[in-house]
Amino acid sequence: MTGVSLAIATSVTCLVVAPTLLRSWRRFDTYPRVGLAVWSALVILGWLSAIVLFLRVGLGESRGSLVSGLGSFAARLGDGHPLRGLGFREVVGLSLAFDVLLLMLGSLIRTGVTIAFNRRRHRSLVDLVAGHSDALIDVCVLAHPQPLAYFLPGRGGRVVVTQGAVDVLSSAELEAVVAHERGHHHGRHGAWLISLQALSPFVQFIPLARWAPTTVRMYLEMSADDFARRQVHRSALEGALGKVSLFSAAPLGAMGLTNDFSSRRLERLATSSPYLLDLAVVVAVVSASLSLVWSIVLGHL
Amino acid sequence: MKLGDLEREVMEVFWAEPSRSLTVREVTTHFPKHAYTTIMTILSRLATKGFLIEEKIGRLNSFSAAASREDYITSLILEALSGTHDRQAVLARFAESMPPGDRKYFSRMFNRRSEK
Repeated sequence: MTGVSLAIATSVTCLVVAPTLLRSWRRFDTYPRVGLAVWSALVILGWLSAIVLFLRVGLGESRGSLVSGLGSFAARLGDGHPLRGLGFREVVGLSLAFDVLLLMLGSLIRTGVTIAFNRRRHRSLVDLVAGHSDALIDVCVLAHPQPLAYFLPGRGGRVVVTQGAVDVLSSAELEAVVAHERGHHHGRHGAWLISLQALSPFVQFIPLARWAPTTVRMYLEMSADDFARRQVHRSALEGALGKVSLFSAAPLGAMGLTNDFSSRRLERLATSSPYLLDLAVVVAVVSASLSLVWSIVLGHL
Repeated sequence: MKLGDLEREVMEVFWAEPSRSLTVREVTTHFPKHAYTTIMTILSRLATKGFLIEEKIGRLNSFSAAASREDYITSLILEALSGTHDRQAVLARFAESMPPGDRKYFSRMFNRRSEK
């Protein structure tokens, strides 16, 4: 298979076909970490293969390694004539490749900086004004009647709940909520959140761009639920999820207890138990994706 | 004690007397175990972060709280509410959750704003 046809096949599969098919597939509800791995692989492979496709068209090489094509482009760039000998099609391909790359990198950096700044400011405010519960010593409690519970990622991370949440939840439910938020900390979900928010404004007509942020967010919540289920009784978590309609959203850059996906999360809690063996599938998905990346870049299978 | 904990305790002093400006010397009386320079550093840090307002009266620097603890908590809650899909419903619930005194204060403030 040539580099161009491999890149086209991967782009179409990852950007259009797979997200359309997997969006309503509930099998991953049982294995949210596998769902996360698959959707992340789709995002990385989809955008990477689109960039590689544009680069291949731009560099005018349908066969052989992309590295060698980039090498000759760099040599032309060094001579001061990067577009010498290129036709209209090649120039369009190259500019599309660099546009997509720059847009994605720019958005990632901008979102990363905005979220990091917001988290830092929010964290210093929380540290200054929050109290601490005797029962949950590492939880920051805000003296406010609005029910709210969220995890603020960043240095050390903070699990924040309001007095309103403490009043609404029973002690077992509160423990479940805190365990869920700690699950976000344990799974380093804060980093996922930055990449999700960076890529979400992109080209909404592409199925992957439209559905990946919501779906990945749902699997992050399910994954944190699984972590909580290993710490607390299932009924406590179900009780807390049953009350989420009383809760509000989380601030920018934080992960909160909200009404999103609550019915689907409750459904899976009732039917499945926490899985540990999905790690093998995650490893398989990641290694298959890496080998496909290698093939796309080198131009052969 | 960590610097963050000390910052918090210093802010407690200001929040206990919200309308007063305090000099560095006055703040140090609340922290006899800490050196004058430590307290001065903490006050400067808090002023840089915007939690304290620094004023120069003659040769003395005095500090006052930029906002009350309740104001900061409300701003944190409002920040969280701004991320919700159904803002109107949540804001309505937020208004309902306020004590009657606060509701009257908010309503007076909004009326004053809309008259401007």
